Amino acid sequence: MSAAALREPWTRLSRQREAATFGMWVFLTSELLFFSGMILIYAACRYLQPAGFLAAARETNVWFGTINTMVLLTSSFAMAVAAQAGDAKLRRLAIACLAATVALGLAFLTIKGFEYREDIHEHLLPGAGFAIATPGAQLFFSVYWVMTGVHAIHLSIGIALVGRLILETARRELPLSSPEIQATALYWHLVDVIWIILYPLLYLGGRS
Amino acid sequence: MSVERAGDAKAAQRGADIWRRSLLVWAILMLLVLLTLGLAYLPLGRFNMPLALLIAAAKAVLIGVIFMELRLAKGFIRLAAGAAFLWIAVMFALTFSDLASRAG
Repeated sequence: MSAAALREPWTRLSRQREAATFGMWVFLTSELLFFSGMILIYAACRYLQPAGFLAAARETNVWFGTINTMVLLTSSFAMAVAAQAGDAKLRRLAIACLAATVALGLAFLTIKGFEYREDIHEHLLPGAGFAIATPGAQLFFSVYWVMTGVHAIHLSIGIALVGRLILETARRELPLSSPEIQATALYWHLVDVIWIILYPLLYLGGRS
Repeated sequence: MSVERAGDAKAAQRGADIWRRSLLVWAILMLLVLLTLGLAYLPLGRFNMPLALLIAAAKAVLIGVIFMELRLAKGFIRLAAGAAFLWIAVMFALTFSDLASRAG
């Protein structure tokens, strides 16, 4: 099994796995900086227009946001179990939890879709006819659409990557010891971590 | 037969260990979501957002340290993960030193 997982130029699977983990973390660091750029825009605009940001944050749907946070955290839990099951050579558990991860990811996107529909219906798309008059509110929603949109793209990529893991492990083309499972898990968790930061920024402001 | 059964029992034990550890983290994460949701409705003035971000950071640390296995990772991997925060701190510090020191 491990012979099939081992690739050039590594001589040992443990070294290959270290390299995959390290490479993935370097990529995730660039992802963190990418999202931090957007969070910085949020912070700077909020600093300049605090009233508009609170008035706008009040208009996001806190229930969609909270349920989606729970869905995504649960998907990370499933992914963590899947990765550990892969390490422990528990094939059926690993595949079942990868499938649960994909299902929860799709559930997140579906809920987000309903939320977007409601947002558009309530004229929360910046531009002519925008619902909130307070200066700065449109800035908040510009940031909201870009951040949640880019996050949804990341999640879609994650769903495709985990879907690929399911197909290849089920067909036994990918051994459970492959570092690809761990690397994909790291990516999935990071997309979750980014949502964890977006949740209070976009949904919890202006509620009290 | 008995060897196979012993192997099965061992596998079941490993599976149970994985579930127990991970379920605990999941339960804490769910509690933190409910806590931050509840706190958002308390009138704490300027402390609402810092508190919410603190809870978000706690969730992120739990996922990073346990689910992303930074607790088991070697030093150079932790360094790669931590490096992002150095650059993020520089980015925020420079931007806000400009914003906060402007007259209007």
